[in-house]
Amino acid sequence: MMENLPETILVGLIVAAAFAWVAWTILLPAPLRNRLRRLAGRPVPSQTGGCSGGCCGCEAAGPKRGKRC
Amino acid sequence: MSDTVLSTPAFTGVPPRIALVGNPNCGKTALFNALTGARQKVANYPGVTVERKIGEFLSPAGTRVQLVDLPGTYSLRARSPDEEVTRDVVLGRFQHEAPPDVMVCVADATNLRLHLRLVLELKKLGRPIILALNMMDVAEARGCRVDAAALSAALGVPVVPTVAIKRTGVAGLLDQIDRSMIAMTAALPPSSGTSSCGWSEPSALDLRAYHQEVETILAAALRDAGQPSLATSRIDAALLHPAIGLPFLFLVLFLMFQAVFAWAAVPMDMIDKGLGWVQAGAGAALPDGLLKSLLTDGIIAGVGSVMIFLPQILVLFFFILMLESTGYMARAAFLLDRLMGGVGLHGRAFIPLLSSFACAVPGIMAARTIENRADRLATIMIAPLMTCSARLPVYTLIIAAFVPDRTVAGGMIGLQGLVMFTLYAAGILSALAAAFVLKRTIFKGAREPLLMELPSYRLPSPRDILLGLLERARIFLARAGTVIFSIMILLWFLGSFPAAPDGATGPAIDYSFAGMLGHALAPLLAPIGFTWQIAIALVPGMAAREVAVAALGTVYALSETGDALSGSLAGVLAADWSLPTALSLLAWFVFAPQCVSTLSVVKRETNSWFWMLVMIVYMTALAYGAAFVTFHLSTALLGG
Repeated sequence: MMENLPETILVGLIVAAAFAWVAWTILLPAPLRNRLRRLAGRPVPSQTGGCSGGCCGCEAAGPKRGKRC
Repeated sequence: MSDTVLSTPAFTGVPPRIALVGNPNCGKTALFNALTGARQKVANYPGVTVERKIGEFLSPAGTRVQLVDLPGTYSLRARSPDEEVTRDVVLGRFQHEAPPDVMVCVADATNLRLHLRLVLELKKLGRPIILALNMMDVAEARGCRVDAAALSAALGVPVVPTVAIKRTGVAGLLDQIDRSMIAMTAALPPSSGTSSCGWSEPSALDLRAYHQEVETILAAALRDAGQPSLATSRIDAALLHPAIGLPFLFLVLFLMFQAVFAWAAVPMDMIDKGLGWVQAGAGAALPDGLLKSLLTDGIIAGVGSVMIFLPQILVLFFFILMLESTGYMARAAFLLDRLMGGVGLHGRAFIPLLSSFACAVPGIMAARTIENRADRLATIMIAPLMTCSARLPVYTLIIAAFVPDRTVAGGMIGLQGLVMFTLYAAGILSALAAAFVLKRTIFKGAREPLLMELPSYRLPSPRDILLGLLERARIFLARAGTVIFSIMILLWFLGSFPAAPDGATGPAIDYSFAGMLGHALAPLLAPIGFTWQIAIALVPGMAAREVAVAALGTVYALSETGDALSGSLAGVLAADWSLPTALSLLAWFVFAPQCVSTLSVVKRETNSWFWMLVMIVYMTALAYGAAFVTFHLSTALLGG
């Protein structure tokens, strides 16, 4: 299977890209992802969570740490 | 609207924020969509929006405005988490967020007596308010006549009549927004008025005073109260009848699952043939090698195995959208209140549980409408037991492989649809049983009565139904093209490397990383009848349940039975699995441990890792136990 080097490199790149995508979007926890975004100087999305299927949330509905009087 | 952005002096750099506030089911999200061009979900029952949603639009004067759509509430005296979101946004309690500069209070023109109380409460905050008098078409049809000018004079706020779902009155509302912002910049700096610190919860005395004030305002502005919808009363007399109501509801659900199979058969067959053609074409066009194997065995076999189920997903959502837009969904909650009460659940739990038929994530979030924390937690813990649409491909695949496509009961009922209905019923019954146990052990407490506004019946808007279906198709295809596509490439890699050693006799995948993982997990899953191929599929299935189907497609394409896959995956499974194994896998997926997204939203909504872990443990135990019993019982009865 290794005799065709350009094909092997192409397939290797596709697999690496797929791994990077899965690692970034599924495996990495959101706080770590946001920290990496900040380190790279990229804006952190304000809305988090969701099922990668259009259902996204905002803040937790439980006790909040927002400012109070 | 203009394409250019003109800055308004008071808001230079920061777009002014406008919040849509109002009672539940008055058309806030429809107005949000009309103003921003967004496609947020609208439906005809209270509690659709449980989080704030943010959009932007350009006003006629060229000001870029940020619009915040909020969950419905009857008062700022919030009692449930979704109402707390509204209260906290209005009062500017969220961190790093200013309170809204202008509030557009949306009121149902057919029920002003109830809706104006909130307007009066919001007026106390001292911030600019515009009243959008929505559903004017329904009000006029009922003979209800509201004098908008008199109402504006009595309330002391601008009033704009609108019909949000038809985009009527939106231009007038936009003009009024511009006028209010100009008046505000002239009068006071933005974001002034009462903030969180100057606000106190209205007392019972305050609420009574609001009620009296509303009566005075209505006396001045309501020329004719009109008549309640006669059609709604007549339909409810039949559909909420103690003897007819529940059987009719179950009939609707039963027909829905029959249609999922019957209506989707032709388009599924077409997609199947199309994918077979693409797979054959790719196989013929490419020389043997890694790229061909990746494309045919990995991507097309894997992603294609899931794509085929798009028509069934759309048929299911067609029914759900129809039920939601007509107003029948709220009736279903009412009908099932006694049943829910029997297991200790709050009547409002019905909407979150029904939303979970689509996806457990919005279902769990919809539990925000439940005031009591114990009831809310109980609902969250059982919501993933309802059969989400991601399970549909798994069920369909196994049913197609093991249940003959024939009719029973004299040709009236399709057997495959009947089995699907049974699986959905098993999900519902197991959720109720889990609730029964949870409410008598961990979440003890008195049951609160269900108080819910029943909306008038409405004819579904074909445009909204079509947009809803397009949105579901987009979500499904986006997931197939991103999550499933990427995971299948990785699974192909793990199933192809390392290559089989020279002189190996078994299929190459046996010697790969995936094969090693499958064989390592096999002893753990052997007592419930699962093969090592199923063990491999369950791992990526944690990302999303339908990925398990795609993974089976890839695994079998890479295994010795791969040649048969060009026919259908169902055929391969029918040849490779025993019936008890198939039944065991169905039982597993009824209780299946949740996908990662569900677990993360449970953690977020409960603000606790504990409840997420409890969910993983109890659902895994249920799934394993159910699969174990099913496998051994069916082996004893049917033979292996």
